[in-house]
Amino acid sequence: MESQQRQHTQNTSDYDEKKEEDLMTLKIIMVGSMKNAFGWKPSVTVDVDKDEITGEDLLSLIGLDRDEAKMFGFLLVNGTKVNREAAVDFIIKEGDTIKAFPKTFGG
Amino acid sequence: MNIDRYKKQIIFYGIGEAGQQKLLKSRVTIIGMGALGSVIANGLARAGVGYLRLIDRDYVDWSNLQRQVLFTEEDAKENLPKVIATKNHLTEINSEIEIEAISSDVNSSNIEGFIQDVDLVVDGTDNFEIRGLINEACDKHQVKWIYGGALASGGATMNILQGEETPCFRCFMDELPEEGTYDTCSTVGVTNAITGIIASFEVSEAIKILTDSDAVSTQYLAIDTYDNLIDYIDVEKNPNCPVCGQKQYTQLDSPAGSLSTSLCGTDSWQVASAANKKINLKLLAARLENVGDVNYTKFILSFKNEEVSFKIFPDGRAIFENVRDGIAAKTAYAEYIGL
Repeated sequence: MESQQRQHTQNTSDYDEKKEEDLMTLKIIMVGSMKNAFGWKPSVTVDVDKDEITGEDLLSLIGLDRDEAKMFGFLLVNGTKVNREAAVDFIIKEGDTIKAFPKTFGG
Repeated sequence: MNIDRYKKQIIFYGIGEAGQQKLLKSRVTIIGMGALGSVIANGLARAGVGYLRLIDRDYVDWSNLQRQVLFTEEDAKENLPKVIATKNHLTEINSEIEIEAISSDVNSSNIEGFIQDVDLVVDGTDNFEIRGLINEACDKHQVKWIYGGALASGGATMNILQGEETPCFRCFMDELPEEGTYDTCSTVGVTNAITGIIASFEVSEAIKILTDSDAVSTQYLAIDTYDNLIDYIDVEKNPNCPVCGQKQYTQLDSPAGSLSTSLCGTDSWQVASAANKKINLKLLAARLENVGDVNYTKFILSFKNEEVSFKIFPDGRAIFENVRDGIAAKTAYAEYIGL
């Protein structure tokens, strides 16, 4: 577990009472200029206190809210493209391979 | 025609003599002649595509030389329009193909004329708006096109094949971002490695499309050279897509008007007018010489004084340097040139 990369924790008021194994840890790989939203780090790791999360909730958790993260393009979850609209219902679980892609306009 | 120059690609099983003949008869428009476009133009010219239409609105700048592979220091010193510099160099590379160089903004008033008589359009542009316009125009006229984009160390490309089951650009770029809300090469930079790689994939796919290959990609390709990532991604056609599904051409049907746009990679703003405006650079130079330093050729006029510096083309487009924003650029245009 990459403890040095943990950046977010949900429901911090209950954190001390939850057991380590109750947390789901998700790693999101940032592709291309998507890294700019995270200090150019290649990935972001988050702990979630449930065993599954929707794509939209995950994006909000890491700060890629719909109204602010205009550069966000789509997620790739286990090889499946998940755009913003589909992320509302798309379920992500521990062990899923997750990548975040930007909209790429330069040239 | 010296067909021997192509013998190494004729030997390649994917092209052969029949494929080479198809390339020689092909017509391609390349929009954008910067980092992507220069590699694309170079590749397609050397491969023997018989007709290339090159379109770009900008001139060669010193900062282009890091990644725009056809341009030289001499081109930058002369501030040549990019399409003129490109044509000059490509003519030395392959004098047996036809090259049309158009130094122009691409907008709703002229894009259909640039794309409807070619077999393929290849993307060398640097902003979202123009790609949306290309997508609409190509959908309307059912012309295949290849999207390519690159920024920082990442890039992406995808073929838009105009098939019943294949997606268009808006199918996977589901939301149009507002200008100023996304990164550009001015804010995060770009490497020549990723522009070269993405453009080379565009060249490869263009050759496959033009030779009717069975190996044409139908996937979205994303690459990050810095973190060693390559992903081929399936993209579904959106049945509700406003462009390929509902045939709503909002950009194409909008009047171009007078508009200012920022130029990727510089602190410059372009002011262009939709009206067919012809500027007599000699007369303009005479008018401006009392208020600043003026130099001009038949391609471009450069002006500088304490308040403003700009370059203007015969079609009325002007590029203002070191201005605060697009409004300031249009104000200066009105003051020095006339709107």
